[in-house]
Amino acid sequence: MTARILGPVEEWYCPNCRAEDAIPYRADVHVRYHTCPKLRYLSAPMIRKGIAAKVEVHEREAYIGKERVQYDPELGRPLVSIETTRDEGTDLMVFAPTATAELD
Amino acid sequence: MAFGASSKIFSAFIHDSVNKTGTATLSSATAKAALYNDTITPNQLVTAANSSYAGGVWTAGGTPNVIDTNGGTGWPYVGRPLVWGSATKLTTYADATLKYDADDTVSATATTTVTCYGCLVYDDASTTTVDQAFAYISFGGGAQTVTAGTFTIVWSGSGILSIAM
Repeated sequence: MTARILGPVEEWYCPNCRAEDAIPYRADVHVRYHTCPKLRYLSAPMIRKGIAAKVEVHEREAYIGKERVQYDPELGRPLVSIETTRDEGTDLMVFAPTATAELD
Repeated sequence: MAFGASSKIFSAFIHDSVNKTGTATLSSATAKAALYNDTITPNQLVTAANSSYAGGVWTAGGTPNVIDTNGGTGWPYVGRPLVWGSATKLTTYADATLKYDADDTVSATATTTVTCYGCLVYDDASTTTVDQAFAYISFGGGAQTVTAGTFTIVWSGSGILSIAM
């Protein structure tokens, strides 16, 4: 019989919706994402198990005008970022607007 | 001065593209996103030279150009390269809206510390005007800070830049 050697596994969780996931360990800079029903159905980062953190959405406060910004799919509010706050630091996903021009 | 809350395509890039006087191209495989703080006032109606990385207000290698404070390993002055693993770089002539896109741009380390207000997206292979930029993107008018973590620019589904025909 051939014995299979299993590689290390990383376990992830969402502090908002409590979703869990486990994937093979990756050495590169990697963040696990999921569509979070508690975070306006945005693609939100998950947290490695064993790390306490909060994940929250920041809405845009500046005037939008003609700026083509990104909106959340649930409430349709303009977004700036999703911030993950851990004991040792923060992660940030910035929702970049689109630079535009019109030729018509 | 302030970076402001507007994202713009440089008119010089469009002018030079249709006039065939520039070498910056959206098909470039070496586009980068360099980060800037709030001590500049960007202007889309400047010359090609003044819209390039290291030209005009877009000082390179120091303030207002910002880096990961861990020596720039997470996000260097020249910026992080755009990559196209899943994103379509450019729509075709048949689309009524020309869209230039890329995969989300992520810091090289999970220990990045940086504060920025926006970025300059430029062609690192442009030669006629060295490092001529396509556009600048405001991150909403406020400071965006990451501390000992991962910084990600999530490009819009509408693209990094978009031109309606």
